[in-house]
Amino acid sequence: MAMIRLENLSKHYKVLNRSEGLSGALKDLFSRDYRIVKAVSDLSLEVNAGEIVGFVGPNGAGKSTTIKMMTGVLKPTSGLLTVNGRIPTKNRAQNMQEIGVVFGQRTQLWWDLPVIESFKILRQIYRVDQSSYNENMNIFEELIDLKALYSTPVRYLSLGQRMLCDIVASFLHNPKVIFLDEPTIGLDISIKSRIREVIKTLNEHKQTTIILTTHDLSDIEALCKRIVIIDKGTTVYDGSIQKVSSMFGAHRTLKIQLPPAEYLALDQLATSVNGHFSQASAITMEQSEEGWIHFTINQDEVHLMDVLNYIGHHYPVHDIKIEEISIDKIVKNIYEGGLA
Amino acid sequence: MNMGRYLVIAKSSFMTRVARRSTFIFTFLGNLAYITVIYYLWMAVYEGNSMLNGMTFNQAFAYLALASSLFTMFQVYTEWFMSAHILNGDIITSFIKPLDYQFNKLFEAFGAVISNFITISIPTLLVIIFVFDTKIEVGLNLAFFVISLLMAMLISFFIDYMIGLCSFYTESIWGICTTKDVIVLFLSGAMVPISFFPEYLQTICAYLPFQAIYNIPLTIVTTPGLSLMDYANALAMQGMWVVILLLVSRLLHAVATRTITVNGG
Ligand SMILES: Nc1ncnc2c1ncn2[C@@H]1O[C@H](COP(=O)(O)OP(=O)(O)OP(=O)(O)O)[C@@H](O)[C@H]1O
Ligand SMILES: [Mg+2]
Repeated sequence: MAMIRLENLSKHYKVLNRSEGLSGALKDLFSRDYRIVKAVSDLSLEVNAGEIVGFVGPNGAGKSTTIKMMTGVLKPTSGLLTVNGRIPTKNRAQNMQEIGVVFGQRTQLWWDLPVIESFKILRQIYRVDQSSYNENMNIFEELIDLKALYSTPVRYLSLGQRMLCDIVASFLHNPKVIFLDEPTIGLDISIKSRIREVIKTLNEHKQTTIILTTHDLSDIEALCKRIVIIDKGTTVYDGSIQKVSSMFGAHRTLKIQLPPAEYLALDQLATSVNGHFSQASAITMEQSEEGWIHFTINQDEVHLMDVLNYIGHHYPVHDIKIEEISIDKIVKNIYEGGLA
Repeated sequence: MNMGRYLVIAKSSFMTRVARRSTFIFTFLGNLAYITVIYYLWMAVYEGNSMLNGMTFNQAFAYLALASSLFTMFQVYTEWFMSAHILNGDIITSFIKPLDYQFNKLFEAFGAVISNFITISIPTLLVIIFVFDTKIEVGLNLAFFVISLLMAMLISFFIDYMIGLCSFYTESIWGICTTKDVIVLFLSGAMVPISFFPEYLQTICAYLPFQAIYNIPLTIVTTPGLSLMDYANALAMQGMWVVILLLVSRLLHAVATRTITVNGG
């Protein structure tokens, strides 16, 4: 059964074109000069009950906008949208009973009150009966050892602790669908893995349908079978995470910084690297600020260590960083036929 | 509508207020200073007169001192919070709850009013009665006063809420808010009793909802010897404004919340 269905969903924002300066601000008071931002255009998607779907895309791709529409807070400009068989913007208050939402940058807990109070308040807002409340609190207890924090006001929690509380709180009323918009934003590796653990366990236990957005592919790899990649408001990939991982899992970004005196030699560096490695297509190069150069390397073809050795041998490398491939790069690769 | 859901909102708002208790003492001290100023100011106004515009000094002082404690009691910043939450995008956390936004705000305001009442109004009242030796009629008027206060709170809330809805359309409602505060304070009789206004201004005020917030409850509690008919008229007038403003604010609410803008994310 499709729990969530989007058909050619679009959302266009009307934005006032602002003029500069004080006189511009005055002029804007009377301006009717609007520009349309197509945040989401013709997005179609179907999500089955119990699925966890990873929803990714570069900044501004339209992920949060889509989530806001699915929660019924924003009204789509056009297209069809049903969640749990209902149109989210109709009967809003009632639909909210069946969904849970976490926005990583905000909290839905009561900032000034002790943690446990937020759970009690949510229990009453969502009319959760005492026995399911107790049952859920016990499950949460086992997952995240909340007790020590019960009497602490939410504002004293660390970002990671607050996020854990926010996430379990969104499960308190046993919703059918949960939307998690960047639940791992700004967290370190160890708390991230705890959060993944919590989401995974609760999903398995309660068969909750979950839509998760993130900029960290490893979140998706740990949690989802299916990934939907969007860019500029439309789907560019919808399929198994495995395919994406096997395509890009071997990709690493090698970042190298050269001292200022060498900035000029960048073009030359590019030519020499490309000349040295015969599988040139496996390495792409990009200049960044302050002398940083980013090499995206497909390790199935060329070993990152070989590239590093080669460069280190010929150039006075100042600093290096190695990272997993970013979502932006994947999107770019897909456009260039990477997943065709 | 399920009341339990909203009562817990009132309770949480009450608890949040109490958790920030340090602000009370300052509001209370501010009140004391204000009351002291109006005491001497109106003493000077009454110089040599026992009665002005049908009010004794004691009555006028009780009216204005009580007005200041009602003002702090009703000051729950509904419109400011609405505007701030629209600007920073936190508004969405209200909209994802299975609650009606307006009733949510109403019960938040209610919880805050009660916390203000306990922590600021009661101490201020004690000072007014015992330190300034003000006589307040004790009788049936107090029962009507309580009903009147409840309706005054609703009227005050509906006005705040409608101002707050403006922030759904414009980024800054600072000017609108402060203008509203000044208009309400003045035309409601909170700064100068309405019976001191010139005739034409009294007529205008009679047709506006503001006097129903301060003038009606304060007149009920400070005027001795009102008849049952007087009370009934005063309360009916307030009741009328409650109904009108409920309907109007509900309409504006429906229009404004049809599409909301959520910043950030
Ligand atoms: N309230 C708004 N008014 C005007 N434009 C908006 C508004 N909200 C979002 N946008 C625009 O819509 C586009 C999509 O934004 P959205 O927040 O959905 O992106 P996102 O995929 O969540 O990005 P991120 O990963 O950075 O959170 C962006 O271009 C953004 O500037
Ligand atoms: Mg976002």
